[in-house]
Amino acid sequence: MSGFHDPDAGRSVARYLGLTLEEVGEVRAGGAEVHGTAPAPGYLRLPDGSIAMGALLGLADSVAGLCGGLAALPGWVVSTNLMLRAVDLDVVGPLDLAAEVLRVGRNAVVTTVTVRDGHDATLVAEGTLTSAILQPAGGPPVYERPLVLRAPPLDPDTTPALDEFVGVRSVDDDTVAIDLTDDLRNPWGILHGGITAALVDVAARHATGASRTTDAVVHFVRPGRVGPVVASVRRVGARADGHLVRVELRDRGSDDRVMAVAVATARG
Amino acid sequence: MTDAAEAAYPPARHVLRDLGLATETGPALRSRGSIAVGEHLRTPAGVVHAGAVATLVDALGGGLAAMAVHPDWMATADLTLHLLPRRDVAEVAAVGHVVRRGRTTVVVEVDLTASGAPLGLATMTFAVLARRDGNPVITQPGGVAAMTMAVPGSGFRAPLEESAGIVVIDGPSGTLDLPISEYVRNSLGAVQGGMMATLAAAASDRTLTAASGATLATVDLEITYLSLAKSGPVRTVTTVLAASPDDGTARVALVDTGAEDRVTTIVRSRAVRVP
Repeated sequence: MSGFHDPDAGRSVARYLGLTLEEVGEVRAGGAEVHGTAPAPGYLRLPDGSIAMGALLGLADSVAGLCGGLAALPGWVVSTNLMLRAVDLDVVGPLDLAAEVLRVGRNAVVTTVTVRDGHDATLVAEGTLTSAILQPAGGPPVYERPLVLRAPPLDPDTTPALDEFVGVRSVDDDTVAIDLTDDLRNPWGILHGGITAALVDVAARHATGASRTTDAVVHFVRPGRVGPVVASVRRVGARADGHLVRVELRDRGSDDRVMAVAVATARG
Repeated sequence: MTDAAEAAYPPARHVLRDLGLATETGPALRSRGSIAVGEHLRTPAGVVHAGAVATLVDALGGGLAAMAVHPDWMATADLTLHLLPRRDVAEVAAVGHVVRRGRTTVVVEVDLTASGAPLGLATMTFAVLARRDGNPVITQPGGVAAMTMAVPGSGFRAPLEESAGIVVIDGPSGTLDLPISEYVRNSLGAVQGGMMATLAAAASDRTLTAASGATLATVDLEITYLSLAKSGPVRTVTTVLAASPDDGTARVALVDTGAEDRVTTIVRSRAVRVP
């Protein structure tokens, strides 16, 4: 059951990321353009000071997902494939994100997303999100257009780091797991796509010992409904730009179904 | 594949035949395929051309997806390829399986090896389409079905890019053209997905090598297919996102110059130094 009747449902992840979303340009059917801004606080950074790829994946999924959703109205969307490639993770901040629609079809919408360092407009990352268009029971979310969703700033001294917010625990050298708490769900009531993608980053770094993940392709194949969600890593090999890994996420509480399959590169 | 479709596509002179793609398909939506890697499938860096591997996985994955959606049809929505830069590859072996068959999409994953050791991974998403007249009929075999695309006389006589007809307009800026010929078309009359990947990899190799100052080989391709390229020539518009002596990242847009420069495909690529 979706939470689209409640404007606050499924917003926990965006609030944690400090993401403010704003629809820009002309409001029109079958298209949309969304800008996002988010701080780059210490709790979203890794020990080497870089912004966590997991945070960028979460931000990109949120901005591009909203963009695709607005273009898909009166339907709404779920993420099916997120590709994000980092260019420079050593950001000053804040982060500026922009998403626009590349193609809208009957069943899917494709959006492109860029992330820039608000400090000097340096490109931080860019990618593509493909989403499936669904018809929510009870209808899509009702938004005043052009849409603005603000996230109040969080106290950087008391806000948990990304791994802690997600609740990551080590299972073994190649595996991490999380419980599927309500804070990690999206308005559909399933695990937020951004958290699924962030878990790929966490698992890749955990298994390789690398300091950062630099790119990820995530295929969301089934929803995460029950948990715990277990991410298992297979190391494919090493090359000049890092370790190439395959990550598989399963929902243990839903007959151990495969939720997502991902490929990532971790370096450093 | 059956009857008329087998006879009609691919034609006798076609990149899939020159690749010599051989496949074995089982009843459980799993398939194996392989291509031999001769001199014409190597890049100047000495590794197998990412476009050749993309063509292999596109054909293998497409066959699996077609069986999964039967009696409907499908089109490739995205293809990702991640390779290890190995010089010792004489044959690429691919093992594909259907990860998920949903109502509107099919996800296929392909493991790539050479001489029994990992070479890389590929993934694909296919959009499920209603069947139209002329779509090939591909059904799951009862047992293991083996086939080869090669026919007498097939095989590359020139490097892959030259065989495909790719024209380098300006290598360092990553501007290349691909005129559309029967050799590179798919069964829908558009440029075959693997050939779009080959064109993007060719642009990526050249522009990232120029930007980095070292010979790099494209190892990652993340491809989103937006529309079919039917008119041509298809031109690459390449943007370097980052470059160092060890690796580089680029964005390649493939535009159909015969269709008002419509962007048909977006590709992000990474090239690395080959040890």
